[in-house]
Amino acid sequence: MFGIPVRQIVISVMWSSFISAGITCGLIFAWIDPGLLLDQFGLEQQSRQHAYSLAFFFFWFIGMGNALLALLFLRPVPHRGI
Amino acid sequence: MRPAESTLPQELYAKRQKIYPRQVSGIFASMRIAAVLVLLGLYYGLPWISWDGRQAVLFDLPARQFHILGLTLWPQDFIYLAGLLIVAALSLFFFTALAGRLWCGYACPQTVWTEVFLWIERQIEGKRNQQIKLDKEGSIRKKTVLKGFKHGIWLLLSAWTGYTFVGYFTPIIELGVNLLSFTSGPWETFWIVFYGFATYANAGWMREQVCIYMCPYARFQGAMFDSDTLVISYDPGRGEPRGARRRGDNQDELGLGDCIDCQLCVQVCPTGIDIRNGLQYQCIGCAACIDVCNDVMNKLNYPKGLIRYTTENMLKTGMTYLLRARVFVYAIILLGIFSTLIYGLSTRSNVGLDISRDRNVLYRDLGNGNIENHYGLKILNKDRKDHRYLVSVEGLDNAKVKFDDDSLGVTASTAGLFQLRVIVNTESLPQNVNPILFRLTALDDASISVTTEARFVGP
Repeated sequence: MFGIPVRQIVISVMWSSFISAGITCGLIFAWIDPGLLLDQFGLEQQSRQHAYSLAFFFFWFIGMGNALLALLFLRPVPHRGI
Repeated sequence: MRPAESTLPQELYAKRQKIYPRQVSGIFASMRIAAVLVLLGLYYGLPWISWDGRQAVLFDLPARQFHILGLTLWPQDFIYLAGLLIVAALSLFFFTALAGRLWCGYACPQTVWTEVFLWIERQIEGKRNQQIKLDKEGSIRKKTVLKGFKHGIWLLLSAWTGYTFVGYFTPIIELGVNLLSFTSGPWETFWIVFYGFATYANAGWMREQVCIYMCPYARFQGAMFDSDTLVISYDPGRGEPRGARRRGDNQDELGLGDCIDCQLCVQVCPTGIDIRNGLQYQCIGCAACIDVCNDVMNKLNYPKGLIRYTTENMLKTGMTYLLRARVFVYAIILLGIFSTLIYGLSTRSNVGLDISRDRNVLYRDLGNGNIENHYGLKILNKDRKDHRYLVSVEGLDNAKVKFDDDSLGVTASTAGLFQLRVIVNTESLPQNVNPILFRLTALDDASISVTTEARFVGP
């Protein structure tokens, strides 16, 4: 697809969203205590690592969805008249 | 017919070929080995050092504090972390403008760990020719034994790397004890495995593919180059026309340049390029080609430097300015931000104050025109000593402060939560929403003080 190796496509989707998930976690949890997030979901007995980790995966998967959508929109469009 | 689908070539690339970088020794190889030892020494060693009864470098996520030796950073100190990142980025740009991909060749974790993994591979499977022979002609039994052993060592090192990584976030000794007794937390275990596997996959399998496909720096580093940036270059003026010759042959008679086309520069390249084709995207600036070519030149009694660090201007005009405007500007900006960072860190207040007004009740009318607002106080004692504090209010006349707690005492490096009430008479309230200033001062040290703005609401 796109004339580039499959591994490059996989890396572009998964790694770019990994980086942005890491940055998002860093930014958000510098402002908001992950413990508060746990309280909101009724998971008071869980550790902060639980909140950090789940939030990270949450952002990662959202990012991957974003990247896959971008891939879809990047598909070449047929020219007019054809 | 849709031309976009039918005319796009299906394969613009060849299937990945395994690269067998030939071992090399020389001055730049020695520098790289030194960098590996220092950096990995720091990485694996730092979590084991203690400072003042706790781990010296600990990014304590559960307690939301980052400890770096004597410095403790709180979430409120995020700006210093941001400042540090900016300094790191600017330093990277500075070094890139000066001498190209120094980071890639000498300091990048991918390079560092791949070098270690390649060294392990060389110890087990042998030198380059032996590795190629093993892959092409080796028996299934021999391959299984040798490669199985290699992957085993790689996995052990990866596991230790993952354990060390998590050891920067939860105290490493405690983590180790928990792991050995199978009582470690699920997430700690998960991240050890995750990061360990990432090390194994990146350094063992992916190698140069990380530099080519995954690295963001690889994509934009070229933009920081100019004609005076030191880059690794083959000198075609000296080297061409290339050709093999016998020892003792006169090269001028044969009409040959210094390059004997031994292909060693290609064999040592970890990304498999031919530097004689010019500086390419894949080149990570490791200078292995320089080392090996100098070796060959020595053997032929030709002068060194057929492949060398030089600049575009140097090659074109014979003159170059290494210390140019761009370099000075980077240096000045770096110095400025760095000193601001150090100054800010050293004059940080040792106490923080967060005020949250009780939102449940807008205000309470106590009679006689006295209005009361309820506040929650979070006092962050960032000092290493326990302190007791005094709170006063400014901005409204005759404001009275009443505490629900006996005293505002907070132990070292912790936050304390307190309730207090502020009472102001309506005649002193100019509006219904008034800005007020809370001032917190340590009882035993007036220099430890901080102010926070809040609002007082009346009728």
